[in-house]
Amino acid sequence: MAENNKDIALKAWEVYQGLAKGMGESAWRIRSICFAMTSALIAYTYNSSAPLLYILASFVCVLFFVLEAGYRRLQDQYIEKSISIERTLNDFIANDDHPVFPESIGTDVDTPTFAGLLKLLAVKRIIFWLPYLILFLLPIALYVFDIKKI
Amino acid sequence: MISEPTMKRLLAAIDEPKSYCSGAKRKQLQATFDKLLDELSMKLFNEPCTNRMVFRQKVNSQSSVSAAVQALKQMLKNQDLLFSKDYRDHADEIVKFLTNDVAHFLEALRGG
Repeated sequence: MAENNKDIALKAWEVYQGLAKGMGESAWRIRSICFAMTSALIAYTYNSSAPLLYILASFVCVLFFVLEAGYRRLQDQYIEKSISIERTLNDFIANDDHPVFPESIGTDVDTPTFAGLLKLLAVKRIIFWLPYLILFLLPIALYVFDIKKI
Repeated sequence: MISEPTMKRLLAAIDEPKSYCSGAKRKQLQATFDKLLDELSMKLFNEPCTNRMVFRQKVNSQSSVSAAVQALKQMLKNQDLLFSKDYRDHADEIVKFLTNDVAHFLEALRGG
């Protein structure tokens, strides 16, 4: 029985790891599209001499940020599930008499919440939000200082 | 079984668990916990604790039913709460670990 439980825990861990990895890859794809699109928009705006379009670049940046944040919050939930299974696996390695399993094993996750979004803005996650902040502020600065091709 | 400085630091952390949840104090608490395990390992197995998992395996192999050993097993089971490194906020987990596991172990130790 213990051997079966170990296999179940290991399999669940692999599944959670795969899901977390998938979410991470999707988030990076969203991020790279955002950077490419915003950069192109800034370049186009500079050339077109219509600074109002800079604001559009900032708006696009916000949309992509919200989208990536959604994926990150889902990824965080799978990472959390993965960590709880790691504790189970550690119990097996330590020859614990009663390894602790999570309440249930499943791939269901909660809908991303606004509170979760705020947690993503923590200082320790600066790598996540700083590039978006720069991409958001840069077009605004270009607009304010009326930077355009003469 | 436990040296006085180690005991003092642990009791201080149990009294004010929230201040030991992050930064330098958290590192200090982790170091104190490692020292605690080392002292216990010297006492129980007459060798230093070089690895927390190996120490836990050795403790789990003990068939003793004394309250102190049971509390030690429980504390070692939850030690991950103190050493978590992921992006989540671990303050609640550390408070729980200190006030439940470490406090219960020290109580059981003094009782036994």
